[in-house]
Amino acid sequence: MRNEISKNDKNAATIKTGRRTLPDKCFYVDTQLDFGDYSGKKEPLFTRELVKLCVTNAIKQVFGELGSATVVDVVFLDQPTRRIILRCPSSFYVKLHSSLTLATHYEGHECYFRVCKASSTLLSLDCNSRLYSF
Amino acid sequence: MNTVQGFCDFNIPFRCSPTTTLREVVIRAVKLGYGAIAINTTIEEDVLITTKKKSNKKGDAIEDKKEIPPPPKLNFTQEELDSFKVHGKNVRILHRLTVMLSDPTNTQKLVQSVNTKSYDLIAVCPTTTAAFLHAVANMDVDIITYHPIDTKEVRFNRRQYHQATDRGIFFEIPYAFMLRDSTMRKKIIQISHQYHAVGKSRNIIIGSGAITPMELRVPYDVANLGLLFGLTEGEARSALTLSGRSVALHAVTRKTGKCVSFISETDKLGPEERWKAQEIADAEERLLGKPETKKMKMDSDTVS
Repeated sequence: MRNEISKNDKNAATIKTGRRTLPDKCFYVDTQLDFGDYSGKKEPLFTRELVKLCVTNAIKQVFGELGSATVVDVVFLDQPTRRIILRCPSSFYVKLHSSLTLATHYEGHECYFRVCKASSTLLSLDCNSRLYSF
Repeated sequence: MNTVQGFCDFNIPFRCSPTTTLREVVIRAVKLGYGAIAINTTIEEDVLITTKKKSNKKGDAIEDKKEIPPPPKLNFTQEELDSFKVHGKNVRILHRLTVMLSDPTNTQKLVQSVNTKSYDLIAVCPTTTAAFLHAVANMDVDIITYHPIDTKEVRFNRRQYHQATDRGIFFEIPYAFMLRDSTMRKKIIQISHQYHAVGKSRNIIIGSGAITPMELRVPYDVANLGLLFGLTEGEARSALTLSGRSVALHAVTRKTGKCVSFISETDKLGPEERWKAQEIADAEERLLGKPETKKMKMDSDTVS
């Protein structure tokens, strides 16, 4: 009953203004895993499961078990450039970004996650308003 | 004028980890997009304590009187300088001195030493409440830092916090400690929340304190860490840019004095400023010309 009433209100809003903005359900974070300038040591494996494990461990380290109780998905993974696109609920974005900043290890190797861009739509991860020429 | 622009990281320790060199850390900081960095030399408190006992000649050889060291010099190769121009056009590298202070009476040597004046920024890290109160009210510093290991317990209230902010002193939160250990992380979040509760997070600057190049983070990430520290998004951004600029300007005023003076030729003044030249001429007449005119009047009177 409560849901029905709220639906009616929403319809009323659309009838009045003709426009309705959907709340952002999830946030996409474009990160790059950076191992620093050293080379020579064998580089670790790079798969979706390992990355997801590493990211959830990082969140657990900073925010604990309860804090890491959200689903973070790996949407895209590029092995040569080590580019990862993660998806998280939009309310969780600040926690995810800060735990990525504070993460220091991947599979035992020293590294850091560098967040290049973050947005609620995948398409806007591609463009960069600073470099875009009109 | 030498201005500080862009993102600032005013805490890169001179004594970096033995696996890397300071140059690598600085190069990485410039590559990540920082426009101004400061190389931080930390002095322990025993440097400031002056021993009054008379030492024998043998004792002189063993007990070295510790002095405040002069700022270190960095040499870059030509390639590195060229790459600087690509990444950061106007990167400014400043020198900063941090003093670990627990007893407020030890600050005399800091003021007297000649080498102190050659540093651009001066910071203090108070480890006790008494030192904190002294730093906030009396000391001539630019930044008040925090060290999670050495600081025992510091308590302060709103009035003392505002005493510091009114004088233009900034409170620094170093983030590299957060990357190392969970207890240090807890302490840094604790102190940042204390700053927020007491002072509403006014006058906060975020520095790194990174001893390896891997501990440095992109300014975008550091601004997000500011959200963890209780700052809003705009405040976190300005904690990197505007706060750094304010600190650098405060350091300049501390060195030079509390006024600004411009020197320009009166012929080259713009039309809006010509009145200044007229005022100066009038003032000169008033100061020098009046006695003469009086005498002339007297003469003319006597003559007539």
